[in-house]
Amino acid sequence: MIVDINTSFGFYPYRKIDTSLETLRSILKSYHSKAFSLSLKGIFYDAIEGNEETLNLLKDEKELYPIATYDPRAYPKDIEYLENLREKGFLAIAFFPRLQGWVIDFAPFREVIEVLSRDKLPIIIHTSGYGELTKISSIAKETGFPFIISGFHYSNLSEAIAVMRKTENIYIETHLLNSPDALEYLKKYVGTDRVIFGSGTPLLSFETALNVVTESTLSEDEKESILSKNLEKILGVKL
Amino acid sequence: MIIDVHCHFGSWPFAMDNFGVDRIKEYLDRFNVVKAIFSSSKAIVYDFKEGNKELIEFLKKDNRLYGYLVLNPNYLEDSIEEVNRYLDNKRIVGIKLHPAYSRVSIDDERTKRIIEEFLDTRLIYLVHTWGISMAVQLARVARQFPNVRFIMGHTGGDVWYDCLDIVKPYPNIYVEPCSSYADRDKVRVSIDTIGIERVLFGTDFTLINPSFVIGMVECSGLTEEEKSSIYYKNSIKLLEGGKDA
Repeated sequence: MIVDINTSFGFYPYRKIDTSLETLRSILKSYHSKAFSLSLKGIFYDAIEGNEETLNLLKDEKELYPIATYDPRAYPKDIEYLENLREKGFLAIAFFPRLQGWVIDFAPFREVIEVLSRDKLPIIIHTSGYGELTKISSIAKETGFPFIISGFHYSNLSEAIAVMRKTENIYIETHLLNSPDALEYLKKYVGTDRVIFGSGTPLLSFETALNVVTESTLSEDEKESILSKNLEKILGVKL
Repeated sequence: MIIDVHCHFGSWPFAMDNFGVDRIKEYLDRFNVVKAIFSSSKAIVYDFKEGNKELIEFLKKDNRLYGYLVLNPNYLEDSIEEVNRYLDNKRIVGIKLHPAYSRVSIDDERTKRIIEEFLDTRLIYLVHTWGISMAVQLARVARQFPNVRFIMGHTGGDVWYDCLDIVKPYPNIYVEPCSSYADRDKVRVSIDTIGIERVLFGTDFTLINPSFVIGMVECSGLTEEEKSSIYYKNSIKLLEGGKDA
């Protein structure tokens, strides 16, 4: 089974590309994959409107699980919405500092994390700048809930390894792990239990992300863990 | 079958193992790469002459290995000498220029002086491009030297969509799609914008996993014929027009 932690749907404003829910469904179907997803509206325009769209459009989906988001640049607007995300039906919350131009030290983000401490949902952060994961690790240690980091590739894999060795609740998502031996390298230094499959589809190639796992020299059990089981362990549910 | 027009050997200052020749050969076997064109990472990020010398030794290790000489136009006379030194080596098919590392643009007078010096050699130029300005500079040079073939490494990177339009009018510019971001539509849009015959397969191996670009090709909804054009046929045509093909 494959569960993709990193998908989205909706309108993409930066160039012309079909990122509709129908296209996402079709891609996932062709790979027999389930996925966590959210509306791009929540990233680019208004988090709450996007979250509501995510819930509405995914409510009857069996293979797609809703993720919430919040843009700390809007804090404290609508912050109360984050108080009971689990009850609303979300399985995780994702943040997009790279895309939205803020950094982990941003005070409003710290406030948001405090609000989220009641639900303890997994937090997915899309970031890549040197030092950002180091800062996330401090927050992760304080809060204790799972942080899944997306955006690490050959140039900052060293930071991922350094942080994961010291902070048990930091996980790494795979879609940018692009060096030829990235998974083997992670296995050697931190193991594969905290590596979670993500693709970035439909913006990015699902096939590429899948290839990185399936074409690696890891064992079949390790590949299966990365593709779904590690995530199920974080959530404590069978997807 | 694959011909990879964008490979490296040597060390990188990142969290990854150094790939020696045995491991590189293992990768070529795994992905059915029949020919791969390498440049030296040392030559790109540090001393181009020392790196090129190591490249020449490396190319002797396997008959699938071909090479680009890396030049640094900051050292114009040395760069010209470097080409003259290795021009007769049948494994050298071109020149690699990396304006981001040398900090000399592709349309700088020194770079153009190098191109002029070797106009009759049919060497291929692999040019690292990232951003609109590098694409514009490359287009300017391609217009000035219509008989020189350029490969636009990364297709301009994260702004590839606009870069394709910039280089579209210049049939002597080919593109290869590798990048850290495996955009789902990059190969398809490249074909639709500049024509399939100008789209090549390059991976940036050993920096980037060949699986990345293979995934980008495979998810593009191409026919088997189109895929074979990108994987190797277009490169064969390009190389056949090159020096000592």
